[in-house]
Amino acid sequence: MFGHKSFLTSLACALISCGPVHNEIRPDPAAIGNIRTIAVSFPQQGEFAVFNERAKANAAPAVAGMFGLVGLIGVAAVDAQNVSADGKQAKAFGASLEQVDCRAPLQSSFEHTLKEAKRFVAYVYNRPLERSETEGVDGILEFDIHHCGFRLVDQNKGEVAAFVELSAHMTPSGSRNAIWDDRESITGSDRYSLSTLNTDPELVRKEFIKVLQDAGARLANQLLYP
Amino acid sequence: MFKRTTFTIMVLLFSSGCALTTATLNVNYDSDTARKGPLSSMDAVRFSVASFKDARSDTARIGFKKNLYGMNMADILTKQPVEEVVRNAVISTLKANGHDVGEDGTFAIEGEVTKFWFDTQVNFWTIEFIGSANSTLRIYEKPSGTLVYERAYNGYYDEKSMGGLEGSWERVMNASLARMVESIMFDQDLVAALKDNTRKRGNGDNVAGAD
Repeated sequence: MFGHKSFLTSLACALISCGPVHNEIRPDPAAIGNIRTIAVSFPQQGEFAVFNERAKANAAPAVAGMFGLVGLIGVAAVDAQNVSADGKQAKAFGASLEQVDCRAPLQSSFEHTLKEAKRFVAYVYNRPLERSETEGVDGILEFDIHHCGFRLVDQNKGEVAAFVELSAHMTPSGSRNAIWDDRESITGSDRYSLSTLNTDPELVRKEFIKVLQDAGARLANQLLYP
Repeated sequence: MFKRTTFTIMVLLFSSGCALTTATLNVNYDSDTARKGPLSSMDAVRFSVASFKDARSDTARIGFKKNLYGMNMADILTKQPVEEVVRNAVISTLKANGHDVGEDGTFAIEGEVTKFWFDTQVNFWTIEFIGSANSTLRIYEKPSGTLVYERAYNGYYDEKSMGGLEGSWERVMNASLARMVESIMFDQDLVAALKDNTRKRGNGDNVAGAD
C-alpha cells in the first residue's frame, strides 16, 4: 500500500521543503509588554577563538567529493592543521588580553543599558539561575555565549574583526513558551590584518572589549525596543 | 523500476532548484516590520539619502548555487541592484524611527555596500545557509558638508536546514539585511553624534567635523 515510490517521493518532498532546523523567535511588543522584572543569567564564559585559517578552507568539501576517501583524509589533515594554526593565533591574542573573558564586558554593558532605560528591573547573574531566583519575576532570560575573539571577515584582503556569538532564550515566568529564542552573531565594524593585530596588543584589547560592550548594549536594546 | 524511480528522485533532489540555472532572489527589507530603536529617541530630522555605491569586490552576483561537493554551479542574483536594496532599507529604518527623508535634509547620508553575499556550507546531516550584508554609512551636516559620523555596519544570519530552495535563500538574505539595518538603528554612538551636532547647531556653535 505504501510502496517504494510513495516513500521516496515523500522523502524527496520532505527534504526539499524542509524549513530551518531552528526557527528564530525575537522579542515582540505583545510578548514583552507585561514584563517588568527579569532574572537574567550568563552561565557560560564563552570560548575565546580565532576563526581565520578554518574560514579560508572553503574548498574542503569539493576536494573530498572529487577524491573520495583519499580526499576525506586529506581534508581532515588540512582541517587539523587549520585548527592548530587558529589555536596558536588565539593563544597569541590571549596573551594581549589581561583577562580573556567573553562574559564580563558584555554582561556589564547589558546591565548598564537596561539600568539607564529604567524600563525593566533586571537581576543579573553570571551563573545558572537557582530555582528561587526564577520565582517572583515576570521573565527568565539566559544568554549562552558560545565564542568570542576574532574571525575572518574579508577573505580577499585577509582581514579579521572582533566578534561574539551567543544564544538568547527567554520565557515568561512559569511558562515554557519562548518569547526570545535566537542566535546572535555580532562583529566589530573595524577590520585589521593579523599582522597589524599581532604587533599591537592594545588594539587587540580595545577591539575585543568594544565588540563585547556593543553586543551587551544591543541585546538590551532588543528588549527595550521589541 | 524501483532503481529507476530512486535514481530519478535522487537526481531531482541533488539538483534541487535546477543547479545549473541562475537564481534571482527578491531580497528586500520589509518596511512593515521596521522597528524603532534608539534612533527614535532624538527629535525628528530630515535626511537626504543619496544613491548608494556598490563597492563589493564581486558585483556580478550575490552568491553561487553549489552542488553537494561545494562546487559553484550557477549564479545567484537579486532582482534589484544591491545598492538600491540597502538604500531602501536605510530609508525605511529612518522613517520607522520618526525621521523624514527627502531633499534639503538637515543631514545627508552617503553609503556603500561592501558585502552582500549568500553562502552555503554542506555539513554531514545539514546544509548551512549563510547571509552577510555589510555597508558603510557616512553622515554629513548640511549645508556645510562636514562629516558628522562614519561607521561600517554588518548583518550576519545563518540557519541550518536539511535542505532548501530559493525561498530559504531569500529568507536568509532578508534576515541578514534586517540585522544590518538593526545595527544602524541600535547604534547609540550614531544617535549621540547626531544629537550633539543638532545641539551645537541650535546653540549657534561652529560645528567641527567628526574625528
